[in-house]
Amino acid sequence: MLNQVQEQTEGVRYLTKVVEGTYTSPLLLVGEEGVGKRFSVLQAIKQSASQGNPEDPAIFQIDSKAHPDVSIIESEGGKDIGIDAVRGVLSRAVTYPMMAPYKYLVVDGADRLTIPAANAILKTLEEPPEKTRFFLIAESSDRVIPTIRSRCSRVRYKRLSEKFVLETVRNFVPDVTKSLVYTRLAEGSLGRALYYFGSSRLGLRDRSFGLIKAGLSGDLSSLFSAVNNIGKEDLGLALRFFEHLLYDLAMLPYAPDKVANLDLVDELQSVRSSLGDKRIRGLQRGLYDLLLRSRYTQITLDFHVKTYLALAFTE
Amino acid sequence: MARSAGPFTVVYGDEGFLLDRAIETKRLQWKQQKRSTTLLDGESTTEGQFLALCETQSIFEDDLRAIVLDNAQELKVGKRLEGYLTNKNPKDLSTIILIVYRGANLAKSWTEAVKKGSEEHYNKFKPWELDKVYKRTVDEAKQLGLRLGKGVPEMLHYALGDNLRSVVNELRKLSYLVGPNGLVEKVDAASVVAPDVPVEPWQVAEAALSKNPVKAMNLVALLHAYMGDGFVVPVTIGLQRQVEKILVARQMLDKGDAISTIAAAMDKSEFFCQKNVIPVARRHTVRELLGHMNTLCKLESRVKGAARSKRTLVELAVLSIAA
Repeated sequence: MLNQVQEQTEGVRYLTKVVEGTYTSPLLLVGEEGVGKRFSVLQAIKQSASQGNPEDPAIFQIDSKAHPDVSIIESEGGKDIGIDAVRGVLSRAVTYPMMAPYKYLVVDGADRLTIPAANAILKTLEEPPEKTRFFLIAESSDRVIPTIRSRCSRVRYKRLSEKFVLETVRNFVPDVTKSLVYTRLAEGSLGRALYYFGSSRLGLRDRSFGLIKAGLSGDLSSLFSAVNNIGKEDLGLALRFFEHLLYDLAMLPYAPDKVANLDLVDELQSVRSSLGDKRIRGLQRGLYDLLLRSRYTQITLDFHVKTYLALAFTE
Repeated sequence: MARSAGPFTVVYGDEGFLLDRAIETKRLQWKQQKRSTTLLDGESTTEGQFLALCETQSIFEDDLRAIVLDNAQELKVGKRLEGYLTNKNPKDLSTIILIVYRGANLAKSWTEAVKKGSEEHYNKFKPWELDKVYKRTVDEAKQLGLRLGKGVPEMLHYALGDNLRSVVNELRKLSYLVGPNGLVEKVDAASVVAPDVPVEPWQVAEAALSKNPVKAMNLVALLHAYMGDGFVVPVTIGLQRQVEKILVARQMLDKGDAISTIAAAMDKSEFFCQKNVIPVARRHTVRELLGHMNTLCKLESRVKGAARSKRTLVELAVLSIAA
């Protein structure tokens, strides 16, 4: 139920109005991954479908994706959502509800819809059926087509507080330092913190740190093969960790309490003294340019990373 | 080529298209003679199965039969089959057997069949027998009611190589284009053939890094002629990969590493490294190569983005590396 949703006051306010039936406009929930957008939508649907009764079988049906009035369109394996995935669900979503007071249509990944799929949804949003409630979830509203954006009320989901994420992570990670590392690397996203923990992503973070060490050795052959090895795993995420490591290296003498990689403080100290302030700033600047380029163009990331590191460590 | 008719017809050679055509021609003949036809593939037929079919006739079958044994080179000829070929009455034409042997030279085991029937062979021409290739193209065109203009057979050969099947396919397309008894000019041929690109994008990178700007630019022009602006991304990626490889080699050379170590680091053989990588690496400095990597990163962002004159951007990058 909605009372289980933490820290997202704006989202809860809108969703409560939808549950009460006083707000009928489609909602576009925007925020980073893992901050509770989908969770809060499902809680709102459960509350609405069960009429607030925690023992109602509708809650179980929604949890097991078997409720006839709840349709969810979502991206599979990080791919874009195509028209085929949308068409069937839309035809069901516009019919009269069978059990709940409304039909609920959740589009988890409104920023991942292909143009034909987005247009199909837009057509339904233009003339929304009286008994259907729409929830569109996106990480970035810029990537949602403007015509859909203009027909939805935008609800912003902020990053979760470090205190809240830490408390939750502590339930899974007893080690205090490690749990703080997961929390800080996740940057206010509970989902991300649990993903890092569940898939042992600290190993990838360590390999990212290894790039700095390989760079300091000046041996391009080993530096490039390290990049190739990381590339087989997840180079994008490794760069995210790399950004954190550079931030920590920069902040270590000035704000040691803000450091994310607390388990690597000693190593960070020694790397910092080898690199020096100027080179750390250069690395941060170069990484910023690289991330900017990769955001707007489909570049061959491994080659760009190799160039960035080679230039940073050999010049 | 053809000799007296008998129960066996052996067709062999390495020109698959003409062998297939020979089978079709025979089948049409048999159809007119009201013979029932059975097709066998030597790859999936045993000697026993083949013989059983040749020697026994079902009561449901017509009196006159024809059996086609395709891929006869795959069938193992044993003593029983040899005996059958030797003892077959040459005047018994109730069952005609067509043996299709897909190979340039007929195996000895089938010569007995040739003695009791006829043989046809269809071999490819040798690479230097271009006159024969052109003449065959002209003949094929005539069969389709086409006349070929000057240089057209040469053009078809250049675009399609000695692939008769493709040549005939293109001639069929041309027969629709120019109509019956039409004259095919070079411009018509160019509009239907889809030639393979004779140059690969990595060759540009190789020429550029070998400091051969003339060759590199010619290759770029050739790629552009065949692929249009589509060549810019493959060439950029090819340059990236090549520069990266050479940079690693150059740095290891500077450190004094042995060629065997460099080869191991690049996952190449020592001979390959010695012959192809080291001489190129010696023509560049680490500093230069790093500059090229940086240029290529920017180039990739631009050619994959909305830049204008992408071809010029690539040409400038190639020249800056090759100069």
